[in-house]
Amino acid sequence: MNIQAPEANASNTQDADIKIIDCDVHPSLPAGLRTVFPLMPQAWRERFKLKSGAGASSGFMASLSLRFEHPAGSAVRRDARAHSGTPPGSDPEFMRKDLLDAHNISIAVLTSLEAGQAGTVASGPDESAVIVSAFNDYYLDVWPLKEEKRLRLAMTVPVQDPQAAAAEIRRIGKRPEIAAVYMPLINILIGNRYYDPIYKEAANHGLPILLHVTGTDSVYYGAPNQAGGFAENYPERYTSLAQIGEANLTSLCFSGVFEKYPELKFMFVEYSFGWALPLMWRINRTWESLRYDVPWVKRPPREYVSERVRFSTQPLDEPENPQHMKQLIDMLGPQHLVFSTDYPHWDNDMPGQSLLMLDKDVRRQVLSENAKGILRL
Amino acid sequence: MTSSKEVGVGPVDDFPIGELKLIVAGNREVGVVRRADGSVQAVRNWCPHKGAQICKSTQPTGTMLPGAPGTLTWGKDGEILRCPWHGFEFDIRTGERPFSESKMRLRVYPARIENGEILIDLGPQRSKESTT
Repeated sequence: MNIQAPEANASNTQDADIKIIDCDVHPSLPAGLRTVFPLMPQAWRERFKLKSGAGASSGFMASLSLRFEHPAGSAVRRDARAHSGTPPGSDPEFMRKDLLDAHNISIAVLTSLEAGQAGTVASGPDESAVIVSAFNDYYLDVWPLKEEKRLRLAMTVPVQDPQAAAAEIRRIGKRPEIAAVYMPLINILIGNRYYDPIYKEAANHGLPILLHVTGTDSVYYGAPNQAGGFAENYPERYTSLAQIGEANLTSLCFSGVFEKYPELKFMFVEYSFGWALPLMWRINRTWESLRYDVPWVKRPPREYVSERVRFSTQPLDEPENPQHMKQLIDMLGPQHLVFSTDYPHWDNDMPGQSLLMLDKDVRRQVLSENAKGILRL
Repeated sequence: MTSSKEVGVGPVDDFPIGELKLIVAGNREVGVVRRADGSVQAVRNWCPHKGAQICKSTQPTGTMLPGAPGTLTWGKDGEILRCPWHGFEFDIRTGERPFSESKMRLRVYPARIENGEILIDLGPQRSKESTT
């Protein structure tokens, strides 16, 4: 049944004059890894066929384990499944109607979490380079990104091999459909010099580094872990994922990366942002006292962050008094925020129902203007 | 507030017992469930949390009742509608959120069977639905 009454969606006509930029949308493969076999060299394709067995459809995907599986069975919205029956996020035409048209979104940045998993812990370093390239080519050339200008790609890099990651940026980084470099995280903090080859090429191409959880976090050896111990269930793990953002922002601020790559920018996507303000207070206070221990941090860290770090809004917190969110954003500075839906995941925030307490000019800044200052569009 | 508006939405045989069926009634999308005891529940296809189409891809279910740590008790079987987005649960009969102090309500419409047809009372209707 295809029912669509004017009232029955989460869009909002009050944003008709805002060109909304959605910094976090997740595409997926309709038939697992098999989908991108044609985009791989033959020998690698044969390797993955052998390793996947007869299925060869999802053999590489990282399981969250029963411990951390979403309580409803999937973190992907059941109602975002295309009529074709393919997995949510795998049908660009359905995404165009269900997300872009329905919610008045001008630009949506695609980030493949499947590629992120393959690029980190769900495959070996050599395998990941092949798989990630195939994913990038699939979204660049099989999806209609050349025609549908509203869809842009955050190209994934195989972060287990920084030199291969840099080579991947050189290979496709000039494509106009690419808006950012998705650097899925392993358990090395982002201030570490390990990432220098990636940062150098991203900066050379004018692309920001986009950080986003992969789903392997706190589950797999080699993935980033949350502090304090092993969570017991999905709600614990989900709520604590922001810790990974906090740890990496702190690393970034004291590492000197901002000085080494003066043009490089960073996007913290889906780590939320409520934690950023008190953390920046602490980082700055620490720097005022102990600057001499990190003399390569030449300016107050908040200045670097204000200029070159952006946090995505999703998942939005919902204080009992919505005005408290307005106050928080005012204290943090709305220039730090970029809008994101996280479509088609269960905790997505649609623009017509998000941040309605903000004044129109601030809302425009967060939903549209700020993203133009960090994405390569 | 406006006057009540009862509309027919089809013969009972079009509504399998216990199954949520999404229909259009007047200018509203409504999820309708017919029960074996002859009662009917009808809810608006609009989650009051974030505006999701709560009746799309969902069916009435139950939920876990509050209990001691490490124990599980399933209850309210068939009485709960769980939003496919953020997982907010609502009692399909009352629209209330179970086990929550939230004032948020799923809009429910009075419904009944007369002469083999399901009738839904869409009024009184508020001029504007509340959202958070």
